[in-house]
Amino acid sequence: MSHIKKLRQRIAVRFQKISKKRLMFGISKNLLAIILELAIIFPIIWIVSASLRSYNSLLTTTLQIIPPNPTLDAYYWVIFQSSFWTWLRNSLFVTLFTAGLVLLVASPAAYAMSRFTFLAKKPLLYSLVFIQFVPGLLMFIAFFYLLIFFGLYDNLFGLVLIYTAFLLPFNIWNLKAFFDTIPKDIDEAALIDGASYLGAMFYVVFPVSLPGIAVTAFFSFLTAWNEFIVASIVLASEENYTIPIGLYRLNQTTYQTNWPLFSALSVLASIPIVIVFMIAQRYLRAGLAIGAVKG
Amino acid sequence: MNKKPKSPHFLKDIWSRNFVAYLYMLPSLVMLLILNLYPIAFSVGIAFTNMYLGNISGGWRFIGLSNFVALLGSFSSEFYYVLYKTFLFTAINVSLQVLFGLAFAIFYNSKGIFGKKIHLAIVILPWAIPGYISTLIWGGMFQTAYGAINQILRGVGLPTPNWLNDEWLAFGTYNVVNTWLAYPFMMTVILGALQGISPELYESATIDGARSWHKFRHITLPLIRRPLLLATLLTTNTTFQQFNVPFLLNNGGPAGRNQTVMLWGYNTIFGSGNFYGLASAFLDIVLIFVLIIGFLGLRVSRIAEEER
Amino acid sequence: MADVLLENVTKEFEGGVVAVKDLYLEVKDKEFVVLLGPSGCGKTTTLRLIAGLETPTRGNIYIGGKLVTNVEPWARDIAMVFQSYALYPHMSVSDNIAFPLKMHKRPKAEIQDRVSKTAESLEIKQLLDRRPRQLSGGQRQRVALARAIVRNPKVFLMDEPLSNLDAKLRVLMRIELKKLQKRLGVTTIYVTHDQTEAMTLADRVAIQFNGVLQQYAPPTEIFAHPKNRFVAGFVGTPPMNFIEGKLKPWGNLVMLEAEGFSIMLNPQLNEQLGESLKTLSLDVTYGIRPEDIEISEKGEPSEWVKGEVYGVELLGSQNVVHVQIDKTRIVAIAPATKLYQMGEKIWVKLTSSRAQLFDKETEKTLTSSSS
Repeated sequence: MSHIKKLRQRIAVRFQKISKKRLMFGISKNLLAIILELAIIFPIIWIVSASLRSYNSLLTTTLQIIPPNPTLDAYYWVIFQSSFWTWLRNSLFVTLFTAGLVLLVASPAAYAMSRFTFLAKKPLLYSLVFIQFVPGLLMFIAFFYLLIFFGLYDNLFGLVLIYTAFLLPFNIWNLKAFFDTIPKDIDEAALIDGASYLGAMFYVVFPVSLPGIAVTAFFSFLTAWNEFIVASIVLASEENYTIPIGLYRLNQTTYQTNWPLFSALSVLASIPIVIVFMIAQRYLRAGLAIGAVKG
Repeated sequence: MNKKPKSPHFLKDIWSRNFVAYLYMLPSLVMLLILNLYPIAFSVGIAFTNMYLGNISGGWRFIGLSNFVALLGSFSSEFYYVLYKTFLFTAINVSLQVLFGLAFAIFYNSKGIFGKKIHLAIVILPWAIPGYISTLIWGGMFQTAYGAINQILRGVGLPTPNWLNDEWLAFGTYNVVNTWLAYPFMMTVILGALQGISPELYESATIDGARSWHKFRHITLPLIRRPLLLATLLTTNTTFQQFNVPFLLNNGGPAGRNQTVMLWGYNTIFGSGNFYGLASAFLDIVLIFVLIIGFLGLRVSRIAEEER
Repeated sequence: MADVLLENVTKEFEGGVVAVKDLYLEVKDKEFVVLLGPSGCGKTTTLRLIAGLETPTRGNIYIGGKLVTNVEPWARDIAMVFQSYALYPHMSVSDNIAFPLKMHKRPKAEIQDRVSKTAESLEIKQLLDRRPRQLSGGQRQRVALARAIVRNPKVFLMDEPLSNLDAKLRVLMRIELKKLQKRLGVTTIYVTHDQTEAMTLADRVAIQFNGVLQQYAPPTEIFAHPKNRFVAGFVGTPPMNFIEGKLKPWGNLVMLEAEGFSIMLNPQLNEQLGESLKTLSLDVTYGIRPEDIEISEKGEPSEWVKGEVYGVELLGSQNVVHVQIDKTRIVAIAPATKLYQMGEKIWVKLTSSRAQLFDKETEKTLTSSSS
């Protein structure tokens, strides 16, 4: 009961302080925000609406936000009749493996770069930055050579390797910056307590850097999951397709004939990643600000 | 302790151990070497050959700078047009991204908006949704007959152009789509920087008689300059190398008139002819441009570092 | 036997900075030695050398008779308390304390037993399940201590462990630390820049300045017989007064001729100077501690000098009086009951048997007998 009273009081106080002019201003601001946002998410509204149409119905030339006979047929088709699950399985395999491999390889490297001074440290750090700028396509022909040479063409694991190679420089750099914020004191305490370097790294620095490690894993996962063009080149046989490729194919083949199918798959493919993104976006904002400020 | 032992201090300071450091970096160094540095060197090397799909296993030869000459030689060559289009796209689009990012950040940072968190979550959606999906959706929306854009225009009696088949209209759609995709990043960075500005600065400026525009120019802008510049540089690099948007919308515009740099490279490699040597030469030139951008970035961050 | 020996140890860092110059330091078993000095004097570097976190450029280090110069820190059987305590933030207090034992692969039962016993002895048993961030400064410090003790190492190393505590707690902890060390009987090497801490805790004090060991002796000796001007001025609060001047014989006695006034040297000092009077230069620095100076409204020359009060600090238990004598300023201590006014003219007795004389150039003592 007192809750409502308090709320009432608060609103009353708030309105007391605002003059009419300000009220108008405030309302118009919020209105503007809503209108803007509607415009921005219009494509989303459109595609959801399209996904609820009965497929095989012709598309119209007039705008219809609410479909005439909304149905979940397209979704049923995607879930039960398409290769959605194959694509999902492949995407999961590739992303999880990539995230894991990146963590495994990048963490010790970042630790070494953060704690130790060694020969060629500076040039190595600079080359990490440099590599991030190189356009991926440039390395592609060589990738082909390598993939075929190792027999990893049209192989999901080959894709994992390429993704890892692409993600390593940024993540080593980022993890290093993160480790740098942890004072060397506790490493030294661990060393004196009897841990070796490995012990100090595993028992002390890594657990404390869990947020940084989580960010690395998340970014690697996100990048690999959303990646389209490299996957479409490396993977040839249908059973190896990841979700992006599956979606692209669907778009190509159902362009004017079966748009709802593509729409349904788009929605299904987007939902999980959007949810994860929303949860993580708070930390992203903080992390990016630090990264941007420190360069 | 009778004899004074020699002191061959083979043990270096605890954090100055080359061996341990390199041991820890070994797996990543191996991967970087094989999967990053070798491909770069390979590409640079191939640029000087006439390699294409036909002679890949044997029969290709070194042809010196012929590829580069073919690309750069005549001004009417495709290369310059692609470069021009890409530069234009980058310049326009980055400006748009900064504009919208700045506007949105300031708008949503100001007082008087209810449910800020929800608003931000919505406004950040273009970033959350996988880029290729969004691009395909936009492609559908710009479709002449059944796309949403033309449906709306038709509804209000305006002309309904063929967006994706006209060179400059398509160019415009690229900008719309890419701005939609990329502004959240800019906005997030600027928002983060804005939130680091103490409100007291604005209050004292108000007391000093400053108006909104003055406050923006003399307080806001200088204080967000650093992260803003860095983010701009980053996105310039990404926008310059943009591939998904032109490829997925209309594969480089009518008859390839709208190919961006990366798309042209892709088509040269995977399109008819598969001219690997030529593509490598092209991409190496692109690399130089990109390095310039990166170098600028380093200068900016170092200058800002000294400013502190 | 856990004695520590640094044998002609030099530590030079990149860029040419010599943090420790040719140090010879021996610490006896069960002894509490304090490394004292201003910032940058090399005391922390010395501690880190003993810990193994730095390697000497030249020289050798021995712990318990064993050569450890090339032995890694984790094999040296030492424990260290860092200035920041360096507690593991993601572990509970009991895990923190247990960590060294875990690293040495002790059986679980033993670990549990020793952790609880150690926690009890430091009165932190009730904190065992908490995280470091939930603890106060004093509690964290005890945890750091517990972690160091639990292994029964040969040597304790402490790097300014009390500097992050508030003044009252610091005094309490000082006493507790001393008691603890006596009870455990572990060789302890303690770094601080606070001379009060050094004086109250140490069996012996090693004062360092610019990487060079100035004096290594029990606190009373450092106080009463400082080897050079630096040591004399560093130890003691308020610090010793220094007056420059020339020695002049005056009949059987010796006078110090300062700028604008003269002090008659106490005959005892005369004797200590003895023969050296004839061979050494006569330019000296006269050092006298505030507590050894007498001030009074009345006085007569040759032992007493006239001066003017230019500042008074009322400390409650005593008063610190700043006196200007011609161009020189000195600090003296007067009982709390005596209130002097600013500008008041008073007499100061600077002659004392406890005064020191230092060679002006070499700054070495001329009067203290070397130990």
